Amino acid sequence: MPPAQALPLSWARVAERLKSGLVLVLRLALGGVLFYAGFLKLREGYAFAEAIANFRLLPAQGNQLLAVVLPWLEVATGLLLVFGVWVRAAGLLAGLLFVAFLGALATALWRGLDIECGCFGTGSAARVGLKALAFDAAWLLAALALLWSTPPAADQPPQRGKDEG
Amino acid sequence: MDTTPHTATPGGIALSAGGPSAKAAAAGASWRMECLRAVAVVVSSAALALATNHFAAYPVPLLAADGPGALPERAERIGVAEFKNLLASQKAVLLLDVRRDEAFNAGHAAASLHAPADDFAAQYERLNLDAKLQTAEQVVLICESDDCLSADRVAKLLKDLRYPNVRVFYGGWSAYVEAGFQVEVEGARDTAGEKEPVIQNPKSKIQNSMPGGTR
Repeated sequence: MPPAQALPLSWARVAERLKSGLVLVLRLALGGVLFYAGFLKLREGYAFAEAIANFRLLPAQGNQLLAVVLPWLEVATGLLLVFGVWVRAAGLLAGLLFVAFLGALATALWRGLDIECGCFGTGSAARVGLKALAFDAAWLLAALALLWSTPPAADQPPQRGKDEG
Repeated sequence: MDTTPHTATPGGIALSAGGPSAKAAAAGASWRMECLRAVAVVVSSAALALATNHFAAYPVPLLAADGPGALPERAERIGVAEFKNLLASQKAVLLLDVRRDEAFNAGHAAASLHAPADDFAAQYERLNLDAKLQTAEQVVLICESDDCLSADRVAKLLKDLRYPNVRVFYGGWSAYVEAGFQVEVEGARDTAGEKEPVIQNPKSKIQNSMPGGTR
C-alpha cells in the first residue's frame, strides 16, 4: 500500500467505525423503544382498542384489529432492529409506524381532542399534545437516520478479505 | 445512498461497477427487496397477532360493532352552573371520579369517590358502589376532559345497570378546577383558585348519601 494513501484510508476507517457505531446506537434505541411500547400493549387489547377509539379515526372493527395487530408489529420490528436482522426493512417499518403515529397525534391536536396518547399502552397517563408530537417526530428522525446510514450490505454478513487493502 | 456493488482494489480504492443506470437499477432492486421484507414482517406479525388473540382467554372481538373499539354514546352532561344548583339543592349527589390513580392522587374533588374506568368492575365491588348508587339521587362522573370517553363508557354501563340519573361533568377535571370547586390532594385539602369552595354545604349531604363514607 502506498504511504500517501495510508492517512486518508485510516480517516475513512474512523468515519466508517463512527458510522457503524451510530447505526448500532440508532437501531438499539429505536428497536428498544418499539419493543417496549409494543410489549406494554400486548396484554391489554381491550383497553388499547378503547384508547385507539378515543382518536375517532377508524370504525370499531378497525380499532379492534389495530389493537390486536399493532403491538405485535411493534414487538417484531423492535426485535429485528435490536438483533440487527433485516435492518433496513425494519427501519422502513419503524419510519412508517412513526409517520402513522404522528399523523394520528397531529389530527387529534388539530381537532382539539384532549385524550390519552396510548403511546406506551394505557398504563401511561401521557396525553396527546406537543410533547407527544415532538417525541414521535424525534423517533421518526431516528428511523430516517438509520435508513440513511445503513447500507444495503449491512444486512449481509461481512465478507472477509473483500474490503481489506 | 450509493447502492452500487463495489469492487475493492488492492490499493483500497473502491470502484463502482456500472454507470448511473446500473446504479439506479441496483437501488430500485434493493428497495424492492426491503419493501418485500417489510411486507413479510407485517403479514407474519398480523398472523401471529390474530392467532394469539384467537387462543387468548379474553380475545378482543374483531368484528363487533359495539366492541371495545366502538365509540360510546355521548352521555348527558352537567355544566358548572347546573352542578352548583344541584349541590345547593337537597338532592343526594354521588360524585364519581373515573380518572386514573395518578391523576386522582394529584388532585380530586372533595367528597368524591374514586373508581377508575379501566378497572371499574373491580372498583364497583370494592367500593360497594351498588349500595351507594341506590341511595344517590344524581350521579356525576368526572373524567380528564370532555373528550374523555371513559366517563361515557361508565355512564352507559351504569345506565345498563338501571341507574338512570347519571351525568358527566362538562369539561372534565380541568373545568371543575377552573370553576373553583374545592380540591383535595392526597388527603390534604386545597382550594383551587380564589373563589369560595361551593361544595362545602352539600358535602355533608353527599357523605350522608354514601354509607361507606368518602375517600
